[in-house]
Amino acid sequence: MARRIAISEESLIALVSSGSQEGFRILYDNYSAALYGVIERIVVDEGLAEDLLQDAFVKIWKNFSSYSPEKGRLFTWMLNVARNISIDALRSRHQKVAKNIQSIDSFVGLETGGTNMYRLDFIGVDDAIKKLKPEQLKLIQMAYFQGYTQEEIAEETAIPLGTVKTRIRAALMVLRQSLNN
Amino acid sequence: MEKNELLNAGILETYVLGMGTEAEKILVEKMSAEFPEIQTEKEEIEALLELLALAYAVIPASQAQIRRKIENQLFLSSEAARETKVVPMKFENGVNSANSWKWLSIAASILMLVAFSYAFQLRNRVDSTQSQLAANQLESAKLLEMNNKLASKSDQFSRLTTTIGEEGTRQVILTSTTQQTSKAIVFWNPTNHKVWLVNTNLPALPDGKQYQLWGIVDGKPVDAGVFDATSNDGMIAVELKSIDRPQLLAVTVENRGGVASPTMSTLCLKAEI
Repeated sequence: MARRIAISEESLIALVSSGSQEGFRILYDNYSAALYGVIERIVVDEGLAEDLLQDAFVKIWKNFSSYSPEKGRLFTWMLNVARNISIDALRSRHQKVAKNIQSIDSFVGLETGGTNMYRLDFIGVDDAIKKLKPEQLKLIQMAYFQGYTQEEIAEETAIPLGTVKTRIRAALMVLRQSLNN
Repeated sequence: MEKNELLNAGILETYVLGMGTEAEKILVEKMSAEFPEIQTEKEEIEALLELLALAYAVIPASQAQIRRKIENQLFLSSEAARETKVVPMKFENGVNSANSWKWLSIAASILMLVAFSYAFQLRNRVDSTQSQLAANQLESAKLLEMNNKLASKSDQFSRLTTTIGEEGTRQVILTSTTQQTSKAIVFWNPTNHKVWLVNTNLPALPDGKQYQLWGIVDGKPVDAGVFDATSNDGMIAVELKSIDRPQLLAVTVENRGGVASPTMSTLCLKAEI
């Protein structure tokens, strides 16, 4: 779906809480590609990623009552559901997340944008991403798009655990600053 | 823990990313309830991560089918799961005489007839609803596919228009190196180095072959990406890889996917800049 349906987060939450099928459709149309982008980058397997997208939405729908808006944005909650499902799926296949190293090299999405249709709205994000140092970009990819834990990142990059957090913060600050300009 | 310490240690970021420890989670929830500036900071991080996910979203190949599957699972199953009540039959003493069996069997036959005809009607109705539904789903899948194609096309063209409209963008016409009338038009912007190949009448190539555009920069060939002779609708507009200040543009025929250095014997188009 090329365009997202404009709806405020409050109205969408109300619609979904009411259990309406229309609410489900908007939720899916607006967020399936964003969630799929993350799932697919974590599991690196298209078929599995599609199954997991389905599982994630079923779980989001069934557990919607456990989402509380005062704790954070709807998308943050949905993303965590999707990421946890993906990471669990890899673990149950005895595939360590940290073993997916080849996906970092083949991870061109952040540079080229992949097969996204609403790219035009996000040209500023591309420019912001280009301001990151390569090691910062790698950190964002590992933490956000590939579902690594802090420990796995520390192990993989040989950075002390406490430093992993401050570096992630530094990288996100670069993005925020260049997006605010 | 101090407010500023929490803000600067990256704990909010890892919390939002779902990577925080249980203790960090409790701390963040407590502190953000207490301090509005922590709440605001957390919201900004969340907004940033949402923006990133949307910017790097990937549309799944079977997006519409997955939606239908989930909808079937979430919205159709509740009716099917409706409970069937089972009432146990009771026989009273003395009623099982031959006469009452006869009446019972007549009543049962009539009931069965009624039930059969009702089931038949119901079956017909379900059949026609199902075929209507299937037709609608097929139709909407087709429309969706068409819509997606158009959206991607329109996206492509607006990016092309942006490049063409930019200051300094040059139109370069590549002409055939032999006597043929083949040519291709390239738009190239010297400032942001964007390259678009817009129109070509190059002949179609056998399977496994593709055209590859090269920029000759300081005497060295730089790969600018590959393209096919025609797209499905006959019009080509491909965004190729950026090239920095080429003196020459050239097109060769290479194996599908492109090669690292050009095969000079297959050079078919070129233009000086």
